Amino acid sequence: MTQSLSVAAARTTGGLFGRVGGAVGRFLLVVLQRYWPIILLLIAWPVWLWANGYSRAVAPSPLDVATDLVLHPDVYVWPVLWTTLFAVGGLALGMLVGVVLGVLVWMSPLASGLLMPSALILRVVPVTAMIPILARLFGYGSGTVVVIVVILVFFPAFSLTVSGMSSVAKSSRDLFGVLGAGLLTRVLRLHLPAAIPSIMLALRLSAPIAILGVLLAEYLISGVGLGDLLRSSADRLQFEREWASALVATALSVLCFGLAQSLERRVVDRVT
Amino acid sequence: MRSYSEANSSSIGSVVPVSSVLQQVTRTPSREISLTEVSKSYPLKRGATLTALQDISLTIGNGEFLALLGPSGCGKSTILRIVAGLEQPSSGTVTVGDSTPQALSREHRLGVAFQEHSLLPWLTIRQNIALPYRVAGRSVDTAHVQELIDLVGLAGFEDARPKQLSGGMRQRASIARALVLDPEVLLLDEPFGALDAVTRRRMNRELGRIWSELRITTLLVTHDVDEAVLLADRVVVMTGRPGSIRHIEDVDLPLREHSELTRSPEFHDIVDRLTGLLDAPKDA
Repeated sequence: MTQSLSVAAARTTGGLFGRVGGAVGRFLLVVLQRYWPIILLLIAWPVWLWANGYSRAVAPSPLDVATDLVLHPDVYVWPVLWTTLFAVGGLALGMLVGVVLGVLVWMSPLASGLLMPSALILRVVPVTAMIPILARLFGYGSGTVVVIVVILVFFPAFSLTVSGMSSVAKSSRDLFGVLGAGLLTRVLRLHLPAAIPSIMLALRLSAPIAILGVLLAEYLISGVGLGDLLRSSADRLQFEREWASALVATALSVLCFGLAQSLERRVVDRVT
Repeated sequence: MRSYSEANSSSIGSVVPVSSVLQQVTRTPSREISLTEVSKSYPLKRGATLTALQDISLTIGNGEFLALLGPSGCGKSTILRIVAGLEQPSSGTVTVGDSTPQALSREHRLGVAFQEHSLLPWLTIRQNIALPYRVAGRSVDTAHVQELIDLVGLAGFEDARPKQLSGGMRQRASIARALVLDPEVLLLDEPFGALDAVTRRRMNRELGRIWSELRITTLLVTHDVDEAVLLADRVVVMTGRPGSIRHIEDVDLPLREHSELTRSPEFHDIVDRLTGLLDAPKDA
């Protein structure tokens, strides 16, 4: 790409503008192709406000929201950092818990009998219904936020670890059998590495859920982060701020998903 | 992604001396494998049983290359799995030397290669070949691993991953892995079954070369008559359902250059006779 550009430049300087123009055109086309819903939303938003004659108190315009973001970045920076910190920490902890439980359940029928029912209960009960109890147990603070994220995140990691470990080809199992491998060797050298693509899938699925969990917990119990900013700005009737926080939270969630996805691609390419 | 072609390596593989590997092997003597009245049946629904093997008695001599030849489903792979300790016979006994297959496998003295190469995709070729050391909890003898890489003609591809190699090269790596711990018994279950005919011939030739230097007690399971006659000292022809031994052929062909051997009338005599035995109905 860059090579072809420089070659074109060397030939004729006149052609360069055409080339650059073409590149910009292609770029815009790609943006349009991929993100047309966002562009549509940004157009539909003010049209909807104007058509209904809504005032700022009902719904702020995109310009108002952008203005608040640009003029008061300090309001958003800390909440974003807090929310990111808890989401990443909770995600890492939840993944670790899920993978460890998965390995134990795969290795031992006893562990499976002991852990499966409780894991399923944690999965089935809506996390919002658990929040009052969790808050009494772990306090109305950061600890509970992490616990909620772990509860939301561990189950996909847990079940995908178990299924990934069981998906090893029969010939590989036979090979380790003939080589006289013990249970621990088989887990560490065969079944766990074979489960890495499934574990990475769990990470990708859970990354936005971790953000959701943190926002929810912050909204309901703790006094920090983007979730708290959402609630407090609504309480203070700062609608631009409320909408901007929602926008920032969405962007953060999309970013987390994107990062997890590219990490997954890289790791899966390395192990398959 | 780089992709290596089969042709790159075969010229390297055929010129590597194997005397250094031979010295390693003479430390540990090969063993005799003996099956006595081995039967294997699997329970089906409602108390019925499927008899896969019936009264198999067979001795594979120390340093002998024996091929089990038969149609699919005749139970030849089951014999190999029993000798590998992966399955227990329903009746009868199997001994390897003065030991059982299970004991041998626990002591990491079996080498095995299957039709599926079963190389681990997250390891390089070198790490895959060194895997038996890791599983056995021994320190990796890097010099010996390199010797085997050279022996099977994979020099230059040590750091490639299995998906970057051709099917034939993956099978070479799988055979190197089977040999790396200097096993007393080598078990090969259709190791070239998934390869095209030309590659298969070439791999046969190379396995013959490697084996003639190592002379490990070897059990090869195959449905390819040429492959069996070419490689084995003795060929056991099996019939299916329940699997039993139909004929044992001593292959006493003079050692010759491979291409000459496959064109010789003696070779074709044996191949034709064994093919006939495979085709004919059981009570003929």
